[in-house]
Amino acid sequence: MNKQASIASRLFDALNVIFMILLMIVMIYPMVYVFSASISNNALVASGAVLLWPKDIKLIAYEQLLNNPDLWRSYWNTIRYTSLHTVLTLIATSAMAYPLAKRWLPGRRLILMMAAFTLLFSGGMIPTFIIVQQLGLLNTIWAIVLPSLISTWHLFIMRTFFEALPEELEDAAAIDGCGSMQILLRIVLPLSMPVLATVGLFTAVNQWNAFFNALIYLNDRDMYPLQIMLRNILIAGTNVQGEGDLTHLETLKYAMIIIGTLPILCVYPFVQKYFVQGTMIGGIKG
Amino acid sequence: MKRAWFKTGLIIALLCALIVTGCTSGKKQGGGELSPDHPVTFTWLVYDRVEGKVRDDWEIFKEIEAKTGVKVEFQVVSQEGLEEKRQIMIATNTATDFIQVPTQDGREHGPDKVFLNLKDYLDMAPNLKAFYEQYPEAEALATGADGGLYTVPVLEGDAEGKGFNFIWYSRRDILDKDNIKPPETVEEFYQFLKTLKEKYPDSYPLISNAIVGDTGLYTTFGRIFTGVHGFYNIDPTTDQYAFAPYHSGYKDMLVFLNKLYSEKLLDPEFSLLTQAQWEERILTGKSLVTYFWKADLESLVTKARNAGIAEYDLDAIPSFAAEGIQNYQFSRPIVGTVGRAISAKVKDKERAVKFLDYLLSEEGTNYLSLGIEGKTYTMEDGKPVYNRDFGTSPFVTLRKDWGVWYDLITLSNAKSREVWERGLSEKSKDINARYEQYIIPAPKQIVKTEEELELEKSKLNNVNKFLEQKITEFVTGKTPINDATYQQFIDQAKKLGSDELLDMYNTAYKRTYGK
Repeated sequence: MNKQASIASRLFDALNVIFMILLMIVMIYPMVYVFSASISNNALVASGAVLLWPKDIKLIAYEQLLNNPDLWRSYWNTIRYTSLHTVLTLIATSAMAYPLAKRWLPGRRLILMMAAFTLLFSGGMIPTFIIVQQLGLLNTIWAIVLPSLISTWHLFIMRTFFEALPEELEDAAAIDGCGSMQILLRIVLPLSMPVLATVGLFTAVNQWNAFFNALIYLNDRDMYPLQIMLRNILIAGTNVQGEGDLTHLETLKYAMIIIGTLPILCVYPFVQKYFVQGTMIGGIKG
Repeated sequence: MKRAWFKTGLIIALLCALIVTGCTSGKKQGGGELSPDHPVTFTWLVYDRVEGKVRDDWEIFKEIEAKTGVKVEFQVVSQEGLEEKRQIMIATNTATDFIQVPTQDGREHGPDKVFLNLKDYLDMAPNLKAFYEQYPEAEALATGADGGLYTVPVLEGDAEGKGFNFIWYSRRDILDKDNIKPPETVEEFYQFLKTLKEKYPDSYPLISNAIVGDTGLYTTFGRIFTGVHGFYNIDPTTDQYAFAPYHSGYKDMLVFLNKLYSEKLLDPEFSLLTQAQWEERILTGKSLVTYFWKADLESLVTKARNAGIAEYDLDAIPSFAAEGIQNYQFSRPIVGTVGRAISAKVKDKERAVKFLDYLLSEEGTNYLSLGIEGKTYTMEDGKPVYNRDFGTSPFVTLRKDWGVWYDLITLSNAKSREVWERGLSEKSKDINARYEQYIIPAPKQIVKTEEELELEKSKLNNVNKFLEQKITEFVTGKTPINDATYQQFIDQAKKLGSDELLDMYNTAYKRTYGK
C-alpha cells in the first residue's frame, strides 16, 4: 500500500518535472533564439539556418544600434515618460480615490457614476486629439502623461482598498490632531503600499509598452519613446512595395528586441510578487 | 569640403538672386517671391526609411535653401504609424505644410479646405501648369469634385510605358548544372517544375510571396490564363475593365494550380507565407522559382552566397502565357496613387506654391531625384548616371546620405529609376532587354465619384475576401473543380456584387478619360 502510494507520487513527481521542463523550454526557447539570431550572420538568419545556437557570430546589429544616438534618446524618453507618468498617476489616483472611499462625501455616487461612465464610453480618438491640441500639449511630454493620467480601473481598485482600512485608525489620528491631508499622507498611504505598488507597476509597464499616444501626439523624432523605434525596426521588409524594401538587416530586429526587453527582464523577477498580489487586491472587500 | 561647397553654392545663389532682383526691380516687390533674402520655413511630413533616417543636414536641401530661401523642417513619423498620423492630420485639419497623401484623399478632403487648391495659383506656377498639361492623368487624379487641383501626383514610370518591376526568377546555377531549358509556354513551365522536382525531391519548386497583389500567385496566373492582371483590371485587348473569374480561362488556371499543388510542385503553405518565410525558402533552395521585384535579384544572390551556397545564382526566365492570351506585363504606372499636397493653412500660400513649382522644375526634380551633379551623378553622353561606387543598389546610399529618391520627398521616382537602370550591371540590362517585348503601358487610374467610392467600400472587400478564400479552396483541392462548383463560385461572387463593381469601374473609366 505504502509502496504503491510512493510509486504514484514518484510518477506524479516525474511527470510534474517533465511538464515543468517542457513549459520552461517553451518559455525560454524564443528568448534564446532571439538572442542567438541577434548575434549571428544576417544571411544565415534570413535563410533560416539559425535555429538555437548562434552561427558565424557577428555583432554588426548591436554595433549599428548602440552607435545610433536615437536608441539612447528613445531609451531616455521612455524612462522619463514612465517615471513621470507613474509618479503623477499615483498622486492623482490616490488623491481622487481617498475622498471617494469616504461615505460622508456629498455627491459621491454621482462622481463614481461619472467615473464609471468613462469605463464604457470614451470621446473617441479625434475629439481627444483636438482637446490635446487645443490645450497646447502636442509634442510635449504632457501629451503622453496627462490624457491617461487616471485609469478608472486603478481608481476603483484603490478606492476599494482604502474602504477596507479600519476607520478607527483614522479616528485616532483625527483625535491626535491630524487634518484630512495629514491622515492621507501619514496614515492611509503608508498602510497602502501594496495597492500603490500594484497600481504603480501596472502604470509603469503600460507606459513602457505604449506607443500609440506617442505616435499621434508627438511630431519630433527626438521625443519618441523606445517602442516607436522598436516597431519601426520590426516591420521593416514585411511589405515589399519598391526598390530597397528588402535591404535591411534581419538581425537588427532581434538585437532591438533584446535591447528593448533587457531592463524588464532584469527587473521582472524582483517585482513579480507584486503582480501576483495585485491581481488579488481588487477582490478584497471589507 | 562640404562646407566649402555649401559656401560657393550660397555665393552663387546670392549672385543669382542679385541678378534676378536686379532684373525685376521695375516690377512690384511681391512678398510671394522665392529668394534667399526672404527666408521662410515649411514643415513637411516624412518617415524614416530602412536605408537611413531623415536628416536635417542633407546637402540637397541646403542647396535648395540657398537658392530659394525655403527651409524645410521635416516632421518625422515612424513608417508604421504614417497612415494613422496622416488620417488624424486630415481629420483635424492639422496637416504639415507639405504632405504626401493618396490622391484620393486630396480629391476628397481638398474641397473641405484641408488642402490648398493649386488651380488658383497656376498663373504664378509655370512648371506646375506644364506638369498638368503634360500628364492629363495626373490632372484627372488631382481634380476634386469642385474642379480644384489638390495634389501633384508622384511620377512612377517613364511616359513611354517601358519600365517594369517584375520578373520570373529561377536558379541559374541549377539550370546550368542540370542543363534544363527555361520554359516558354504554360505546358513547358509545368514540365520545368516537374524536372526540378525530380532532381530536387525535397524542394517545392514554385513559391509566391503572396496570393494577391502585384506578385501574388492568383494575380500572376490569372494574367497568364485570362489576360487580366488581378481580379479587376483593364483587359489590354479590349481596353475595358474585366473581372478575371468571368473569363473562360480562369477555370483552367484553377485546374493548373491545383495540379501544381497536388503534385507538390507548389509550396504547400503558399497561401499563408510571410515575406520572411518566402525569403528563407528562396535563399536556401527549398524553392527554386518565383515571381518578384526584379530590383532584389542581386541582393538575394549576395545573401544566399553569404549563407553558404557558393554557386547560388538567380536569373530571369521568360514570361509566358496560355495559348490565345496576350503575353504581357503592365509597365510601372506613369502616375502613382499618391501626390504631394499643400496644407490649406500654410502661412505663406504663394511662396508655398512657388516652392512646389520650383521642385517640379528641371533643377528641382534633379535635386530630389538625382542629387547633385559631380557628387551623386555624372553626365555620360549627355545622360545622367549615378556614381559607380554606389553599386547596383544606388538607392541605399542616395537615400541614406543624400536624401535623394526618398519616399514622401521625391516627386518623380520615374526619373530616378530611369537613371538607375542605365547604370545597371550587364546582367540586369540583359534581363531588361529580354523582358522588353512583354511590357505594355500600364492602364490609367480612374477617378471615382462619391457614390462609386461608397459602392467600392461596401462591396469590394467582401468580394476580394470571398475570391481569395474560394480560390484557395479550389487550388488546395478542398472544393473539387467542375462546372457545377465553378458556377456556384461565380453565382456567389455575383451575389456579393461583382457585376455592380465591374459596371462601376467601366463607367468611371469612361467618364475619367472620355472613352
